[in-house]
Amino acid sequence: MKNRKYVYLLLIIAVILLLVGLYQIRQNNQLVESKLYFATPDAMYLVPENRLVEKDQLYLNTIKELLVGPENSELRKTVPDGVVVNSVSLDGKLATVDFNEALIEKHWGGSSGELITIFSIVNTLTQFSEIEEVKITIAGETRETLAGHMGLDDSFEFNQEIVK
Amino acid sequence: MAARHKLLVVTIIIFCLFSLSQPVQAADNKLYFNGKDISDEVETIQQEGELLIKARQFAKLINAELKWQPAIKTLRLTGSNGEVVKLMVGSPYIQIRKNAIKSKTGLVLNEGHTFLPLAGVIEAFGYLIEFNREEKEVYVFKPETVIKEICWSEDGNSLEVIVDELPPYRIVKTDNPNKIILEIDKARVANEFTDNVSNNNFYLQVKNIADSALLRLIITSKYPIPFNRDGGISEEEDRLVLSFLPQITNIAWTKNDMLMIEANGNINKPEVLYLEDPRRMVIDIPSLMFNELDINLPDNEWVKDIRVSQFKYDPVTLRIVLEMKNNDILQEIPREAGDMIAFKPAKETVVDNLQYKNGQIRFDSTAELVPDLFLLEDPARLVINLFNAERGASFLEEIELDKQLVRKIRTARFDEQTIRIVADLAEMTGYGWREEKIEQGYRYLIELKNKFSAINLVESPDYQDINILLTGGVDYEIKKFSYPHRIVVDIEGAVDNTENLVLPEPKGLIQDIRTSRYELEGKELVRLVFELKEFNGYEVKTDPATKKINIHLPKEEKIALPKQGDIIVIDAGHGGFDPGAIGQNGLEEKDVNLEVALRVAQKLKEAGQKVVLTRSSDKFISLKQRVRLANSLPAKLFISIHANSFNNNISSGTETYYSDTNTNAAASKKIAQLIQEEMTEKVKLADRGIKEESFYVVKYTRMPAALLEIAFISNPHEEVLLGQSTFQEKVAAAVNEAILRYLQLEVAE
Repeated sequence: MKNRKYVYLLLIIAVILLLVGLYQIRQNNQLVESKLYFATPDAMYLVPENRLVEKDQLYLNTIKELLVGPENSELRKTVPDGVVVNSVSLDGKLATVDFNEALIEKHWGGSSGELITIFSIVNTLTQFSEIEEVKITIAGETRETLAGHMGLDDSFEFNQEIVK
Repeated sequence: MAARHKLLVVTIIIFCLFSLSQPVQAADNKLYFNGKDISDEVETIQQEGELLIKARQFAKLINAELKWQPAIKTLRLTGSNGEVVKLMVGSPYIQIRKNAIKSKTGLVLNEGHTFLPLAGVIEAFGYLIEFNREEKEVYVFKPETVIKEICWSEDGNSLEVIVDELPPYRIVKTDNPNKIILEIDKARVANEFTDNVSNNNFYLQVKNIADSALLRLIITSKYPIPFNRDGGISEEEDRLVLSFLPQITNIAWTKNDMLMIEANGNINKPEVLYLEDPRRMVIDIPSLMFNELDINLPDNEWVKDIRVSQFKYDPVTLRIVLEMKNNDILQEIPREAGDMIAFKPAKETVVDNLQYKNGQIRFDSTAELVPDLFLLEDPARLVINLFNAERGASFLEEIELDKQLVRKIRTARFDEQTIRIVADLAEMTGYGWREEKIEQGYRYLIELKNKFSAINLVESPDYQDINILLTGGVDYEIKKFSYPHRIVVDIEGAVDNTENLVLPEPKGLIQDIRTSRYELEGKELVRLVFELKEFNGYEVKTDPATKKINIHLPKEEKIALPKQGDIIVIDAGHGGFDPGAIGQNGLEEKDVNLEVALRVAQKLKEAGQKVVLTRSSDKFISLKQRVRLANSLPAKLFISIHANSFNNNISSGTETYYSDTNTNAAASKKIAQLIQEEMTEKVKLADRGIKEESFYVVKYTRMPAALLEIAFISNPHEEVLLGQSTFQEKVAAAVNEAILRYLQLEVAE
């Protein structure tokens, strides 16, 4: 009997430890659901896909997830392979998101192709209430254009028209 | 009878002798006409080293009328442009109008046919001939462009190739920085052409590359030519302009002890550093080219020696090294002209009492100084360098402000000579500085934000102009209100100093001028109101973000505003190093765009329209340049031609864009609609509709504008179509039709 009590006690302690551990992991790495905007294959629309993103550095991690591409096989990636997001910084309601050169160099071009890329980034970031406008920079600099149609001097707001 | 026989025999003998002494043989040359091998289509013979061609075939080739007068053994050719050339059997002369040139053989009779010397005759008809003797190839082609002159521009910073018509051209890449090669298609130099380029430093070579029917201009220099291969060449009405970076033209130590540096163009802000043992001052000037010059350095107490060199080519940097006698420093004094900078020895000074108030950074100095100010981005900072300075007790290292304009001011010793003030700005703003004499020395006031420098009214017989001048570029918006008629100008990013400004007396159309501060959507604006006696329309003649705003008001209704003009601008997207989208099989968007744009332009011209192309060859132009060109013209339409793309091979179809923010949004939508309609009807690809999007060229052009995406180059089926000339022709016809329909609607309205 005495032995059995002892085993129970150990078991209870183990369960408590496990719960505390899990709770801590969850505390350190809380996940939130974010919308990621991906393209329809005809390059006409963007469709949001929900994904759990780490809360710590939420904006940056959300864009990192966007770069990974869609889980839904009926949607298309919106940013070329090899693109790296360097930073997302917030000044008032304006978020500036900085990518490496690959965003321009590896871009597939076309007006639709360019719109899809820009507004998948812009719509994804403006889902957060703290962000109203998004400016895209490349390697820390403002470029004239991404693919030869849209000026990157301007900042962009959420685009409702392009969302299906 | 006998005499007759005798004559015949003698003639035959003479003829035989003649034939023997001058053997006629079929030529084994290859003959290329306008790039096409026509050796098998025409008969040629070789005699005395002269290449002769059968006269009748020759006439047919160049579309000339041939007349043979057997009685005087004379051949007369009349070209389609009225050129007249005469040749006579037995005479070596070729008569071209009133001149005669000598050939070796003249007209030759061979087996009952006349043969004429190709080289001498063809040039009379405006063709060029080139022999490639080793390979026995002969090239004949008609140049479409005549290069009249190649010369330096007045300031010596650009080379101008003056032509009768702008040709297709390209800059050929070379690994030699001392050389620029410009290729011009189907061109020749004019008869009166003179070389005004070659000089001590430059040498011009003109090479005719006949087998590709092009002319190559090779410019070689003793020194690397700081020429920007992308964007270094531009087109003007009758010339191609190759722009060079400016050269240093003078460096001297002046009588009043200043170092003066002059160039034949704008001198960028130099970077200065000091080196020890021996003490040297190094001045690096970006984008300035070396030039051999005499340095004027009279004996003085500061500088021992001056050396100038082209320190770097990438990026181009000119280095001036001053060997100093003592520990002095020289500092740049404010410029009077862009092509000259001057430095003078700085006095030692103590700076003190640094403070900030109302958009003004202020400090005092015991001696006169010249602050060196510049802005840095990300984050926005204003940097102020003070040379040869020490900090006093009230010149703190850090001032926390968190004001609307300035968040914080930091000061530090930047190097042995320099105190640096850094103001962390809320955003990039303009600045200016001034000096005031105070009891203990001088006071320096650095003012942030732009200010108004003047507002004036200019009257001409038919128009009234309002000019608003500012110290820096601002964003502005102009609105018209009624009851009473008012023109309202809202200016963002400027300090309201209008109270200290002398406003002009209202005159002409202007009844009253008022200014006020105004807040709109959290932005601080300065509002200027011009009340009008009567209103007959207005036109804003300046670009966004300018230092000078000009509003143009017609005095009478019947003096309509200058019409939007009648030019149609056709814009072929991408070009040069920017290929646009690329298809799976390698078709480049820029080529399709250009091909279609050229065809549209051709059709519009045939329909009697005036057309300007933003590019007519494979060259890069920025979005800004496209818009600037269109806005500088009296244009009534702007049509941009593109091919679409996405990251898969199934997206397909045609779409047309316009922008709601265009100054003529409704008309833009109309033309977009018409293009989409015509494309769907004539070209019959999937109809993706018209779309509103703020693409740069449709947003900033100040005329109705649309951007057509013909089809998806990323779709292999559509890529094939885009590359076909029949398809391109169909697209051009659809665009042409849409434009003509638009113009008709305009007339109807």
